[in-house]
Amino acid sequence: MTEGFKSHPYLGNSQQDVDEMLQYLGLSSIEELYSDIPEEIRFKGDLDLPYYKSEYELIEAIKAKMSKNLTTREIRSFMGGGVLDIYMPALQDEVLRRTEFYSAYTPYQPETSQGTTQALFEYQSMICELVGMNVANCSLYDWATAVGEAALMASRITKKYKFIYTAATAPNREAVLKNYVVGANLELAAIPYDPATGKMDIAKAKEMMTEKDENDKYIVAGIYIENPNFFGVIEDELEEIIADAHEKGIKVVVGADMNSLGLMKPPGEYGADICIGEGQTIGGGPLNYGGPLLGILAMQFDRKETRQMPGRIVGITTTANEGERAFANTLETREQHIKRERATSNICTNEGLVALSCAVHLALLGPEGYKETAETMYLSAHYVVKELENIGIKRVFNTEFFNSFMLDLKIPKDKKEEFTSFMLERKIFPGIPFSIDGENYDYIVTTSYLLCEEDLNDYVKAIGEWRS
Amino acid sequence: MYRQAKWDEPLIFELGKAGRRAHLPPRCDFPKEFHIPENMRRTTPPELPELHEGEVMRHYVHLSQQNYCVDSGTYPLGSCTMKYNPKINETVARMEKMMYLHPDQPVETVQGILEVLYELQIALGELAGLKHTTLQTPAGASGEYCGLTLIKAYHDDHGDSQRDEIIAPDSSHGTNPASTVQAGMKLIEIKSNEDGRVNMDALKAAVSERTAGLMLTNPNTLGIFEKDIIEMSSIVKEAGGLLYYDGANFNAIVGKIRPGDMGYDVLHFNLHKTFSTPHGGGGPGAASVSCNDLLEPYLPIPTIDYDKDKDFYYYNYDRPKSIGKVHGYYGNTAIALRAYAYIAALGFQGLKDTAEHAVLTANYAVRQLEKIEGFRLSHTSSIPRKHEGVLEAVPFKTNYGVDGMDIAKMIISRGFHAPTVYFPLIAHEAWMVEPTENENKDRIDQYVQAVSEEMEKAKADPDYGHDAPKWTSVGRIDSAWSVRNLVVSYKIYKEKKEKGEFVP
Amino acid sequence: MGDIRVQDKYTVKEGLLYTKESEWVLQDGDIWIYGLSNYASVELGELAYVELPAVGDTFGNEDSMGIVEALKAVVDFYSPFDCEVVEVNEVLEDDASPITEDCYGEGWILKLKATGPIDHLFNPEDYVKLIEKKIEEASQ
Repeated sequence: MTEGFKSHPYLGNSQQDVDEMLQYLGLSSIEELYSDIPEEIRFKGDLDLPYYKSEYELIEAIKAKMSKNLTTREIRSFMGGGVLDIYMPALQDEVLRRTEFYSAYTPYQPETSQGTTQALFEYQSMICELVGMNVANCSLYDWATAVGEAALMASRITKKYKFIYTAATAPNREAVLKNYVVGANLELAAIPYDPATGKMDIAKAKEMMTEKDENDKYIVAGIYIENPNFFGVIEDELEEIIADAHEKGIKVVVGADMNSLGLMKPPGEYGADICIGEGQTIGGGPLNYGGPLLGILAMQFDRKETRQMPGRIVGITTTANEGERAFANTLETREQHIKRERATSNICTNEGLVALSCAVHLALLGPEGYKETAETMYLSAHYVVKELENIGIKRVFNTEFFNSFMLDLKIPKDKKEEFTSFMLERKIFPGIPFSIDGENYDYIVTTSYLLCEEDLNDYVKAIGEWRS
Repeated sequence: MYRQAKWDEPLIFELGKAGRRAHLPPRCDFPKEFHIPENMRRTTPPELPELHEGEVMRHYVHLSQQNYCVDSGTYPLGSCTMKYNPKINETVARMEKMMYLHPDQPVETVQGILEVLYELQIALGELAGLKHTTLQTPAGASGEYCGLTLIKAYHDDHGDSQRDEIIAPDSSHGTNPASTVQAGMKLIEIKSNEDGRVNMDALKAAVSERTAGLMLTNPNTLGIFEKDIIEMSSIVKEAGGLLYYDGANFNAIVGKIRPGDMGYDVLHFNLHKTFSTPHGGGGPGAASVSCNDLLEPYLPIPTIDYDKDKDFYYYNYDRPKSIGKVHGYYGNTAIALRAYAYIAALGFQGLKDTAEHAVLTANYAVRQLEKIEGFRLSHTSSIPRKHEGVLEAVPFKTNYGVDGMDIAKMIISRGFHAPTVYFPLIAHEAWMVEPTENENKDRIDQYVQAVSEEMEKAKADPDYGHDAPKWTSVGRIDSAWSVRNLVVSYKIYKEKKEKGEFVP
Repeated sequence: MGDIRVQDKYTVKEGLLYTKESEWVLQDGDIWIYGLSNYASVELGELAYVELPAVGDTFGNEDSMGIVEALKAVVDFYSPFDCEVVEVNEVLEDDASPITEDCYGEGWILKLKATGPIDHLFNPEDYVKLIEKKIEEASQ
């Protein structure tokens, strides 16, 4: 049906090209190449799809639709939950818009893709520096799926089928964890947190780890701890539980706030076996309404256990003839294209460009900048807390925190919308609502370094006004 | 004449000097008082690079110059659909109104993006011939896993939890069995015929009361259309199973055939394949999953719904049978936006032309390559191919000792990218070629010419093939070294160096 | 009789029995030593890793007992008959190269106790015929 088709910028051939190719193939129309398609499944209808005749009309139409959004640059955002509004230095987009990076694919021919491979090797290495471990993959989809993958990995390594996790895990990450373990038949159990401090109930965790099967063997494969946790609380009493876990052959998985590691001890230094987190918050990209993100997964290298790691890994290698340094995917035998049903994960396309972006960001920050951003986030949050306490508004948990805390507002369910509008009028997204009792809402407040002192004061003022 | 840039670029850690700064982040003036418990304080700073801004730029410019991409030239990676990434999509994705939206914002503040996502869902559902769509899956493999989980949930919900077998042909992509296992099911692999299609007797023998479904891409990974799909659909459905369409090859039939009309119950589309979003050096991709009424109740939570009376988009969390969440938020939204722009730039007719041109260029390329001495078309040559074709370099290997990988290395030395090699597994010395609708006739002629010339050189001197590539940034990689030595981070690199071990 | 060379590329050692998956066994008292044949190890090429079963594991005939990981392929090795693992070659856990260098000697993988029939195994001559057939099929 392409006699006299309409030329389009996304089609490489003109009518003349089409005719010449058909002539070479000895055909009179492209339809002949579809001759083996049974008549009854050919679609003969018309679909009313969105369509704009020119690039200009296209962008104007999309702009018009998108203008109905309010951004975090128009409304001050105190929301976190695992993603964060950060500043992407101008240089980042200069690199990310280089088509050599974004229009390439996975380096299946590494000789011609040293840009991607070296950049990803550097990314892996930088993540190792942040978390205190020595091998990281070059991305999973996001933090939530990384929790799921870590649970499956712990199970594969230990050959055990129960996974326990802190109840102070973000609800969306818990939801994905619950989904991911169904296929492998892993049992999940949440470790309660102390209602006074918000920290994990260590005694309960220890008890849960002692569970054994009928052959007197421990059944827990891994324990997942978020640090700081979803409520922003810093877990500082983990030494015993981690030692206990290791004694029982249980893998310790820590979900870390990547920005907090500018001030806080890397999980690799306090005994974590696997560290996961969200790379968007350290320069993977802007919020982008929650995607694309960047799942981080790192561990201490072990010849046997690293073979259970999911995702792509780039390694240094040498060239066959010249003995030069080069970079290429390694340990590919874990992956789906080789191991198929016994792959460590089905992951294929991951978040390569987002990992590159994260590496560029970390290179721009350097160790000083990385520490400075952590300090700003920490101090801003503590300033807000202090000012709120001065007007009698407290946190739910009085435990030390990094840049997130849970504000004790107890807004009744039916008043939540009113509160949202109230704050919106004052150009504030107050935080992420969370209810412990199911009836009244507290707010999990997170400060990015984008908020200046005036923004923080406005927040305190607005909350104060709501209260009165 | 082609020469790829070669910089011998040091690792970024080997550049810079202590004290250099590349960026000054916003800082506050609050007094520096920290109360983090002593035992949780960081004492050793991370060894991140210390460069100035210009040095960072140079490093990445150098790296980028050592990278071949779709905008460099022909990139006919079969099964990946490396089509042109329209630049307007990059502009659209960089709108502030896209970038600066937090996923937990109140819905009334994100009506714009919800409208676009909703429209995209409908458009993809129309192209699928399956009404209900989710965009929550951030890649094709995730889409597969999601779709298979929907099938399992359906059977479990109908008291058929013994249905835990997914049938797939031996030509299937590696993600198919991997996703099947991840979804908690077993893969039953059935052999293909000599003509490359599913063996109907094998299929009939494989179905039972344990069959959960059939997973099949169409056209298949050989680029051959499974013309008996209607019969296959009946066989599977009669046995109580459902059909899953792997949308990786949708570029061949977009707008011309709807998988729903072929009998499929659920599918995924790769937005980074058929719908032009960039491959990014390994992502980010995105997938949509579409299904019919049977599987709709199990879709991931939440779904985007539209209240016509109030002209309001919102999230529906009231979905008791949902399989839960497969992503932390709503999928790769900024990628979905690009796919929307792509669809809207082409419209229905444009998408149909896309499929037709993809099929034409593939046939034009493959039938020429077939004529080169040393290549043959996999499986019965007379069967038409669609948007990709698989050649086998077996004759060349047998006669000259130069194999499919060697030929791939020779062609990348000529300024082209190689096709997918050694997949699918049912072809030998496989060379899977997918030019896409963007490759024009002249470029294909040049490509074929280059392949032919290189193979001639290898005939005269097989070592030329074994030692290829010559003009790329680095020569033939010794992948054995990397597996033997596993230097997977700069930390490990330094350790080995300090011990006096050889590291390149 | 002596060792048989096949196509000047593979060695089929005398005195052993072979499986159709190209593994060998050698009776040593009441246990059997087990490994991969030279045809298998040559075809696999360099090995990166071996995943061994544990002492005490039991397998039915032709069950997968573990895997060998070559550079770009992963291949199972199978039980030659109903058996129980009595010893594993722990050297292979850190270094798989003995399988490539000395598949019939230092490269032994397991020591097994047979718990079922063994009459389906191939003698060296019949195994040679099996390999020759495989080579012919592969070049078509």
